[in-house]
Amino acid sequence: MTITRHPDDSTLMSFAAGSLPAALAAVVAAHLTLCARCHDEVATMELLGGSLLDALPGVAMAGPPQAPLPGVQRETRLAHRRAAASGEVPAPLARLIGDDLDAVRLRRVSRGLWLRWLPVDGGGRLHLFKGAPGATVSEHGHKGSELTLVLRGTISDHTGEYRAGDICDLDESIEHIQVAGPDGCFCVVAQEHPVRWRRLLVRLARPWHGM
Amino acid sequence: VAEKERQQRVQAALAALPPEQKEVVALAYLEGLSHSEIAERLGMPLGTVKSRMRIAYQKIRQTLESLE
Repeated sequence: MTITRHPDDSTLMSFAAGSLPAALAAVVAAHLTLCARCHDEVATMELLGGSLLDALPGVAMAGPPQAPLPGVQRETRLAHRRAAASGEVPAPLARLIGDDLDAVRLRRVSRGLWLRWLPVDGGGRLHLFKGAPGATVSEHGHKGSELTLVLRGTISDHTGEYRAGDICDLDESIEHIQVAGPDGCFCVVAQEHPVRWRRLLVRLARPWHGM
Repeated sequence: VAEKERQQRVQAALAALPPEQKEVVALAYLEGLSHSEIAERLGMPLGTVKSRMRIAYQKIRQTLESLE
């Protein structure tokens, strides 16, 4: 697996700080099991937590400071070590969807698109979606951040093509149309808030597709 | 490079950040605020929060790389 698209450094920092909403943190944790580069960056970023109190005496805090995050660090490293044993589904996601993508029960939401909402406790929304070859996700934007991790196949938008292990990290400045590649795709998507659909018909169908 | 020296360099790099970059890093690490919560707290676009954190980290990483 050759990974070329990574989370933004600011996203990795938020993960290292323990301040990323849970749905987005699950996607980053999964990426870290596949990507040594990001794994090492997070290890460096975790150093910052312990240095901040000494380095920033002038910053006024509204609440009590949190301790450095050995738990996050430990879980990240454990997840990375577990990665070798897992297949297409990284360990942090396997407890939510199992380890066989083809065995996951999905609901069809439009032509060539299926999804399953995944339970998440602690902020954000998380779903697995499957796109048939060439299937299109209608134009939409976001409120807050959206992270997409490709588990199988490819998916593209105007920002580029994303392959297995890649992350598409977007904020609310981006609107896009996503197209599944010639072999289709399985992706896990984390969003802070529901997406903003451009097309009225898609907005009206929100009670059905839930997105 | 000794771990203590790395920590000292990180602290120095953090202390040398411009106040607006220190602020977003501190809010994320010490108050546990997400990017969106920081944006709301400071009344600025989400993209600005992310870019300030990104630039702050680039400076810290450059400091550490200079040790290697």
